[in-house]
Amino acid sequence: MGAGIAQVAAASGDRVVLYDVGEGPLNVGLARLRSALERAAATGRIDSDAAAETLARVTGTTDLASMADAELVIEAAPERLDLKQDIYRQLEAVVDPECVLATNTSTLSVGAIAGQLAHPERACGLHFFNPAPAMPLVEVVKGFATSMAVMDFASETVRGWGKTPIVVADTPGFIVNRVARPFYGEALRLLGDGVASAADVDRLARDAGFPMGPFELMDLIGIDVNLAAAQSVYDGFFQDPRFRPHPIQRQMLDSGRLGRKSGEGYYRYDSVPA
Amino acid sequence: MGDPAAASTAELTDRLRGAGFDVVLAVEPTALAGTGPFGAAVDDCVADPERKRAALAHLESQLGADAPLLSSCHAVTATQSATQLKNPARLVGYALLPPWGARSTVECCRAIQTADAFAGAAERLWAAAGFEPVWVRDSIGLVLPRMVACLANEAAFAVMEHVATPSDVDRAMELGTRYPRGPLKWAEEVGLQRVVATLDALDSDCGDGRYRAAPLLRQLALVGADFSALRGAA
Repeated sequence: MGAGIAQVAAASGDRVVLYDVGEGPLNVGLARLRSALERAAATGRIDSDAAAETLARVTGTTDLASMADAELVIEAAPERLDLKQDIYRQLEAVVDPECVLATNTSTLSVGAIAGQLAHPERACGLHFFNPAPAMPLVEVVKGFATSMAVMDFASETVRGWGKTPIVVADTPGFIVNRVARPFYGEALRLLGDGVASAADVDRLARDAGFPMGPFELMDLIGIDVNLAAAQSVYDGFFQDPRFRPHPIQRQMLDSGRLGRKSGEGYYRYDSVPA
Repeated sequence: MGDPAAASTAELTDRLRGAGFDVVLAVEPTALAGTGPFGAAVDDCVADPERKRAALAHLESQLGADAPLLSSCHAVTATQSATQLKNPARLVGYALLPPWGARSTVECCRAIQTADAFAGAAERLWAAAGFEPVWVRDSIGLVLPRMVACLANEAAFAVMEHVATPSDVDRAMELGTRYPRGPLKWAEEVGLQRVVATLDALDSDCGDGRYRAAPLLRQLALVGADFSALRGAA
């Protein structure tokens, strides 16, 4: 997701340093950025000069020391607490004392990631939604220690990037991943209790104005990814029954039905996307 | 603030009458229109069990022998409502969550007692009013009222816990998930009392705390306020 966030910042005129752990993943990220910009230019969403200028503002690196001059660092590493804490510790040794350290975590606590820092008041969450260039929302997460100045800077920065910042407290799932849980959880209960079929639930949801029904959306997201999100909010609230995942999710996972990407989820798909 | 669903239910009755059905409506037992016998009845009463019972008894007393009684399942099962009737076979459950102006489907369910002839009559009636029935199994809140009540409840918990302001919660859900409207605004369109009634009925049916209504949501429903009332109180 780092490449998508880099694109958002660079498209608004900011210079971006894109870091990854090795040349291989870094080049994948840069290639993804390049092809996203080429696609946007080909379909006329941006002109080709703007695409080239955006790309020119991004430099790749595998050395965290290249972040030394950064005003803001957005970490988008895999969702492992020890990994993120380690990155934060290394960053704090490199960056300016005024540099804001943001995390794009969707399931971990900002306080836990930043707790080891000498200056935890400089850390906040900037939770982008996938794909970052297309999705308008950014949740700006205030940890226990985050200063108001850092919250204001983070909000103003993403607003300058054309996004809508929403300030949210550092609680499991923040707003969207938490409040959306019943959309999936109740749909699964309705299916499990034999109230309605997946197809009928989806049809009713679409008729009520949801862009996709819960089951076709779970197939798109991935049964495994959706269950991991549900499990993380459930654990975050110490097993509050409101967030309890459904046994159907585990059955689907255990039988390899992961949704579109595996060719079968709640529906069958003729072709598995590349 | 009155019951915002009442106006849309009156509109529904007009639509059924326009389609040639002689219909009587109850949102509240005291607000019955006309005198019978009628060809069909719509019970949209979502209230405490005593008032619902009174609404059903009034409606049945004004119905012809072959007339179906369409009864809202927002906070009760059709089977339970049917037990209140002299002829339980005529009751057919439904749920139509506001706003339904652009909607093409209606959720329908048979009570255990429902007879085929009345289910068929209900199907024809909904079709004539422009709704395609989607038959689901009898349960509290059927599909959409239950899902949206739970979304609104979670949003209300988040507001109560100061995770974000009411308008920010709604905006985040509209932008982050592309739901047709924020869950709090949606709950206000349905009526907070109705949302709490759905949650309470699910809670008493399920009993594990999953459907416990957010205390803040219950307070607002109690005084007939909406989330904008919190600007001063929060």
